[in-house]
Amino acid sequence: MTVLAYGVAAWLFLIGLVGIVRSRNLIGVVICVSVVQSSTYVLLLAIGYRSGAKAPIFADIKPGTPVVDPVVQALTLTDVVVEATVTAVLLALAVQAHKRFGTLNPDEMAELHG
Amino acid sequence: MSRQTRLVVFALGAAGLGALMAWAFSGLPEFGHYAGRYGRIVAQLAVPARATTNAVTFTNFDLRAVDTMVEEFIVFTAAIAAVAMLRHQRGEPKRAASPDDVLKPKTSPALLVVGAALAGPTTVIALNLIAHGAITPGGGFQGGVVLAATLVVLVAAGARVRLPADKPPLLAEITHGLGAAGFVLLGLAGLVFAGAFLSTTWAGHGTPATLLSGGAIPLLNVATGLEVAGAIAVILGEFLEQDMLATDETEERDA
Amino acid sequence: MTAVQAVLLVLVAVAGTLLALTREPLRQAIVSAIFGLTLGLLFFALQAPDVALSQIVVGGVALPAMILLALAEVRAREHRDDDE
Repeated sequence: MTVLAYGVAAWLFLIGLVGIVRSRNLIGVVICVSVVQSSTYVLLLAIGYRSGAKAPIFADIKPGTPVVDPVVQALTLTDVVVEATVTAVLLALAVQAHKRFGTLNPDEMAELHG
Repeated sequence: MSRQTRLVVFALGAAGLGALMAWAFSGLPEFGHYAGRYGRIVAQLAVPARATTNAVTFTNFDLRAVDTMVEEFIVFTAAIAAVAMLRHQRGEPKRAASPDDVLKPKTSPALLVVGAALAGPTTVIALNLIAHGAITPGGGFQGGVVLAATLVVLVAAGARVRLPADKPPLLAEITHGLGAAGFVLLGLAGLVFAGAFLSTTWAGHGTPATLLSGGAIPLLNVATGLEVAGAIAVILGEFLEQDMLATDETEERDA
Repeated sequence: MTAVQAVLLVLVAVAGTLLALTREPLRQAIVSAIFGLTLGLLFFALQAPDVALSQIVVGGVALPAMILLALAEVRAREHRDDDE
């Protein structure tokens, strides 16, 4: 059980890196960067989880019942939105690179020096 | 280095990284046996201290508010960076402002109807999420992104969009700036009225599970929601304008 | 760990693998929406509704929209260069 939870986080990290290295398209690289970012979310939430505990919203449960860790959830939720905007900046970079070099293939791009 | 060499080097590095990660993760507590103390303290403090029933929003906008302000400014800067990077470069044909600044996509009537029907409820859901941030799951970030998703739904369904040349749409910019400035001003209000920057106790305590609870947390939620919605709208406007630029050039050549 | 969480964890791993190994960017945009939604479901099963809300909207709407717009711009420019 523990192995599955943390193993999925580590697996997502590594497979995202594989995607970055193998990709022939800059936009594919950006998408694989977001896969690597999601591995950190899975890890954070897996650390904060408590067996049998409820969500940290006290609107319908009495204060004092065991809840999962709200601090890691706070970290992860702002991170998800920040990830979206940073991916937008990376996509803008990819579009600009295509304008400059005419290709989105990272292998071909390295050869075109001014 | 060639592609083959790169893949081989990466395979070796990944094997080492995987071994290190396995060793590191074996030191973590078992899944489900949360061992920290900070989380328990925060969960105990949420309702008595600020009358917020949502412990996550309480952490984000009260205990860790300075951190949230910095992350919000990352969103702010990212929107500006996207616009700056895609701005008109020297040597590119300049697009003069013309009455053809309107993006008129051709979509089916069924899609238009669905888009029009969905736009209203999505906006209401977004505002609901922002307003109820201190009570139920929701808050500024979630509601702001849903508000921007309304724009995505409208554009995808085929709405006509007016995009001025070389500038983000005015309403998006205003919302964007208002949200960011609003957050800092609320922080300063905390400094003036309660003695600590971004303190939320100056706006009264309120009763838990009502809209007016948590001091200044609902106001901070509104500011964040505006800022995130504005940022994503600015980014979308910039990408759409780039799209228009590219298709404009294609159509000019065909003419 | 409940069965739901175990199943969702495996689904997330499979979706992430498919996303990283897909070649064409247009297909990757669609698979990224699926991956985002599976992640949102996993967060929901881990008792994190706020994070699940963020992830569903960002991963299902905002991110694929941005990827598709970037792709459209690149394609339009390539068509223009092919016609020259």
